[in-house]
Amino acid sequence: MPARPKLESTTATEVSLRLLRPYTIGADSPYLSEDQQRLCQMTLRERSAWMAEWLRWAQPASSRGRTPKPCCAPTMIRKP
Amino acid sequence: MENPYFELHREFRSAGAEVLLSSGQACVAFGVAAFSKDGDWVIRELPTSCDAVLAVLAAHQAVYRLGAPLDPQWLALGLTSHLEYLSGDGTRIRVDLCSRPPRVPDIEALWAAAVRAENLDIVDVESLLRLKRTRRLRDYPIIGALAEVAGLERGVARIALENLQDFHLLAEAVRRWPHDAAHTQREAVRLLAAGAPRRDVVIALALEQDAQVQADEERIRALQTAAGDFPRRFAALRGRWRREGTTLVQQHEQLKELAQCLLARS
Repeated sequence: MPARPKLESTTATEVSLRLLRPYTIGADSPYLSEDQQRLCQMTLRERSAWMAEWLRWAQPASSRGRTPKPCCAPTMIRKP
Repeated sequence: MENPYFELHREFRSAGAEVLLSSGQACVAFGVAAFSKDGDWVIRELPTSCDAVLAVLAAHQAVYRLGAPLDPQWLALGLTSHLEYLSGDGTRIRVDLCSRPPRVPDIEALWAAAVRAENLDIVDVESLLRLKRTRRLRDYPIIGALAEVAGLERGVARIALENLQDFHLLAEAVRRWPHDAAHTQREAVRLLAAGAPRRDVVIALALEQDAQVQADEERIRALQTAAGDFPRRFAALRGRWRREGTTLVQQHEQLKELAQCLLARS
């Protein structure tokens, strides 16, 4: 497991602002899928574009009564 | 290409509304959710904010879904307004607004801690963690993910110890912050600090999650009971709106009339 950063005094606002910038998380995260791990590494603008493309993909699928699957995830955006 | 919910947020702000992106779209902004099909906002309990949002949505030819009118009187009861419209490319945009989100004890603190970047205003991570303690099981991996990236990875003990949802990472947090762990009331943390067997910790985590699910179910049951026959009457009203092509401004006035019963029952 990768070393974790040292404890620092910080606020919820500071941490939240930090998460709006690209960051990486270990591949062994029990919570984050591959898609989510890619999303973490994006800028806020890239995350916005990712979401826009997701909605575009999901809409025709849901209108046919199907639930969009993660395999329909956007492919335009690559890791930085 | 831009997230239509982020674009809509900027339209709300340009119109003069005080709003914060919340729930699923906040998780997308923080990078822990890959997708969310609707938009949730916390709105200031002010006529100016409500009017500004309604003006923007009216321009998009939005319609009300089942819920409260977007008006401070109903928002003050902890109720949510639900609206929707079809965007130019046919995407169904669903808009949910409330001023007193559940499980947030101090609304002013939520506004004070909100983050602003690229003309977006977003609830902070700790408030988001409280908001996500819903009846939906799929929200708990998101809580775990937020606790991992905001707590464990960023070195914030309280976020990690209070919110991690799995044995391994919570055990790591307790090893890393034994002093903080000794002072937390959370049962799973207390058991880990006392060296209890894994089975007991896992049971404590499951019971905690179930208690949170039940608390949210109870909250929603109480809202449904208080609503009485409002949903049935709303369905009839919406049918009339569809037949008559009623504008959002007219819908708003008629919904306020219909929803007087909710004020009377509060």
